[in-house]
Amino acid sequence: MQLTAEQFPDATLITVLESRIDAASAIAFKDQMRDLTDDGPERVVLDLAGVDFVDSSGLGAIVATMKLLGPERRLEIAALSPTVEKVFRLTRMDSVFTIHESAKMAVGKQTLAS
Amino acid sequence: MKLTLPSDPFAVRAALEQVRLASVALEMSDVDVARAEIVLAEILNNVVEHACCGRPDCRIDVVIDRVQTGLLVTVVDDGDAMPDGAPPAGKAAEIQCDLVRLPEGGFGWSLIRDLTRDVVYARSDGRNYLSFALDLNGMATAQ
Repeated sequence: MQLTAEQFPDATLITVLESRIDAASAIAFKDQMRDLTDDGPERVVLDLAGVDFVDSSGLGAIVATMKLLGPERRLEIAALSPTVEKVFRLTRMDSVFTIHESAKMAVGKQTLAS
Repeated sequence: MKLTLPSDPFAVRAALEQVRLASVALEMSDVDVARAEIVLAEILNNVVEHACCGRPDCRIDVVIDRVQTGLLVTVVDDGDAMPDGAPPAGKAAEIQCDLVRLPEGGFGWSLIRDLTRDVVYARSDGRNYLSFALDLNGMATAQ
């Protein structure tokens, strides 16, 4: 599972470089996310712009990642493509996560501020 | 169309890809393809994990017929019988504000129930038969 992490003043931006977070890759995703977010600022922004499919296993791994961060930190999502948006909406997970239109909008203000 | 796949998640990915490729011939819009992929992924992943339990010799057959309202799909597998002899109701999990109690699973049947109708399960000669209708072009179920 290919993920990259970029640090901003108060957020870690993690970009998913694969197109699916599904039963085949959910465990690898969860393990990598745990490693990448082990320490860091309060906000973790997960950029899903390149992801066109997330099934219930993938969704569960995303929820598990949020729980691992603990109550002091939060996982935010950026860029839901149509099918992924549908899954978030049907499971009502779109009311649980802060969802940004894009990674740039999620962290952009910080780069401008510094 | 008919597909046969072994019981593993990468084979499920390949099967979904086949359906995506057949979507033009099946007269499906992008929204239709999305809904079909979500449903088939959940059903096939359930078969792999809970019926076939990852057994490599457990075969899964998928038959997809295009009818006027949409697709009629039957999934047949060699796996264990469904608990209680019936598919789950798939009531959507309670989404609470309490982070610790957020569900990490159980979304599958809720998704399947939201997007399909006439789900029927039967078991015969050691095989499971699960069939359902998936309405296309926004008919009946407008999700």
